[in-house]
Amino acid sequence: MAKEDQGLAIGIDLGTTYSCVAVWRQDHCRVDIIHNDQGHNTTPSFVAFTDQERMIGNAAKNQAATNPQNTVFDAKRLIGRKYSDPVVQKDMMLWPFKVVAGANDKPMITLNYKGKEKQFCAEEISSMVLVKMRQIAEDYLETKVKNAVVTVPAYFNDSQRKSTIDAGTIAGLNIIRIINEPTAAAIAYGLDRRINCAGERNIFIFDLGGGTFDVSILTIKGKIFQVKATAGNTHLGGEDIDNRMVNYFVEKIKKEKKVHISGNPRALRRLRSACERAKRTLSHAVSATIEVDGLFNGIDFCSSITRAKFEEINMELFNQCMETIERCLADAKMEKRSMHDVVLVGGSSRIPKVQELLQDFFERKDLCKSINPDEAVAYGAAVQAALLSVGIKNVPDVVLLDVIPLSLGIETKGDIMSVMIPRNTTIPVKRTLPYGIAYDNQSSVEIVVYEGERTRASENNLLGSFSLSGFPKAPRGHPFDVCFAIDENGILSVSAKEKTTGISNKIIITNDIGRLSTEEIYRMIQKAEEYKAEDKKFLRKAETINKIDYYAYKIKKALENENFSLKLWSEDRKKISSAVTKATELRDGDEQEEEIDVFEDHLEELINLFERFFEESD
Amino acid sequence: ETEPLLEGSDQILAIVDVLLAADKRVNNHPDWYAILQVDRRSDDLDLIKKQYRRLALLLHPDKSRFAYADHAFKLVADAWALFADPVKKSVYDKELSFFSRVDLSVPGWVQQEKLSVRRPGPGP
Repeated sequence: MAKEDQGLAIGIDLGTTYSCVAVWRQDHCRVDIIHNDQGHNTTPSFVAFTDQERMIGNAAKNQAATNPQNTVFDAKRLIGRKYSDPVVQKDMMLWPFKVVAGANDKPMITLNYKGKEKQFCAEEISSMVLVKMRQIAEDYLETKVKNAVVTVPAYFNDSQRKSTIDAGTIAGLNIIRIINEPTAAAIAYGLDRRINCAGERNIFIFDLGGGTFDVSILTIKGKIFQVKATAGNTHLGGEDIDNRMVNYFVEKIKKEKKVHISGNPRALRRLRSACERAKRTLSHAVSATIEVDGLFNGIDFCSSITRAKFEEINMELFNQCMETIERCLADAKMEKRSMHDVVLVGGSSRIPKVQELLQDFFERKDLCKSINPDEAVAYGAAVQAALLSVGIKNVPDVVLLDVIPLSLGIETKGDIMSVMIPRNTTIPVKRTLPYGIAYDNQSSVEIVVYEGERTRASENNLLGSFSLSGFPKAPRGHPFDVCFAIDENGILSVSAKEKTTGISNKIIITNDIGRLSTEEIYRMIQKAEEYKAEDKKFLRKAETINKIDYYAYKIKKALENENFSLKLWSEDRKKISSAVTKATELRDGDEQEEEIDVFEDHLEELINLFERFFEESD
Repeated sequence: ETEPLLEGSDQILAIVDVLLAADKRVNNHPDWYAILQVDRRSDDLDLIKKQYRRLALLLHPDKSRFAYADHAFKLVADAWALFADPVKKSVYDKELSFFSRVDLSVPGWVQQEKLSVRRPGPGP
């Protein structure tokens, strides 16, 4: 049971492009969205490596154009997927960083850090973003934070959810719950509208973010938030819109300037940033200009795009969104007319065309824009985190009844998917069904677990398999029980039991499908600690250099004063000026070659000199 | 301040009620009506929904720290999943009335022998 988690818990919206962190303030009876060191409420989910240091967040994103091969983003698009996944293969062509196949077909990001080639999995990159978000929260709250609720797209599958939990573990966080993004947004909406929410309200959440798209239908009645149905696409969002814009301009440049820039990561990165800016502009203006000086071979690129053209190149994506909405309504067995509110979540829901299509679909209904589309998810996660923590006061009394997004079942004779738990079933849930063995004289059965909606089992997502063996040879149809249990995080465990002998076997779907083992996670935690130590060392060195510079400057300034200078013995003067020269050399020299000790020793010497000769003269 | 012993008594009672109701079988079917504490073959969907919500709030593992709350919650959720679907509800109602008219208790193994791959129909 989750209630045993002590202490402060934060809510983290771990997004594809941006992340956000929030916390419940019991004394103020409200949620605070926590701003980062730059004063922004959202932090880019970027991690970058250079010859000297590692950067996370704004720092990483800002230098992306000068260091494209070693700047990682979109880790959420890799997490829980296989290298051979067509989606991954397609994304790879657009990423400036290198992805290779690792063990178990796991995608590995290859980067250059301090002149050495290193490999990272998506969980490690996400864990670095989580560490950053935790740091932001700790700076704000002025206390240590251990527990967190992390959100995932509602349409994330079992392996993607588990990998997200692994990322939390590597980051040293105790993930007390994984909740779905649209559901979290619904909490933000529900609490905001609580006063005038008397009867039962059906709400429709439209969540189009940076990389993923989710829709959920919920019924809110008093304290109960019941999810009716959910649908989505884990690979549709603002990034795809940017991609289409980039492709459009690459073609345009090819035609107009007769140059191919697709092979140049730096040019692509700069063009992409310009496209992202133009996309934002087009949400309030009817046209936007794109200007990139010195884009490629000295060509200054300047062009413009109208809102109409933007809508034309992205229409296919918008239509995909609309199809998903219809599927969700059909699953919930509800009429679009019965929706009381349509709530917009995610940055890309600001696109006027998207809003227009939505409004048309819901028969000119006004869209609910009262919640902040960038922060609503973190807000809801923070409320859920407070609900699950012991001893937090004034928490709103609500209970979330969420559902699983994809049907779960096992393979039966003839590659048929036998659904054990249909999609949109309320969790937690446990189902036991009797099955019969397929052939005479079998003494073992292989239980293969799948997730998905296809009738042919093998066309669904394979989650894992295990065998039940050792019972006496039995005729065809001999019964055994299969039990599926899904916990509050939406994570599945499967067990099987042969009744006459009591032989049973159980799996919590694990490693064979690319999930990290305990040892691997442990190794990654160690690695993460090392990186943290190196980051600290880098910071210490930078600070030492700054201090050396400061004292050298003070001393030089004092020496310029002739009155004072004359009082010194010539030997002392020589000593002082040689120390200052050395300080300048150290500061301007190739700093990475020297160890930190050299800097610290010299700083000490400078401070000694300063104190001996200058302080008393004041 | 509430008396510590009294705190959560509603929650404990709800768990006991649901588990006891789930223990009994009506002609080899779980008595889903009894689990939600409504009259047999009730067609009052609003009442059923109200009962489901009341129990869900008392039993959800996020809300109740008592043992077996999750077990009871799953039963209540299953019951609601069945009643919320008109097709499933009518099939279940028919099966209940068929067996109660004939008053025939079928032992579990008779049914299982008929299976080749899996048993169709409702059930946890």
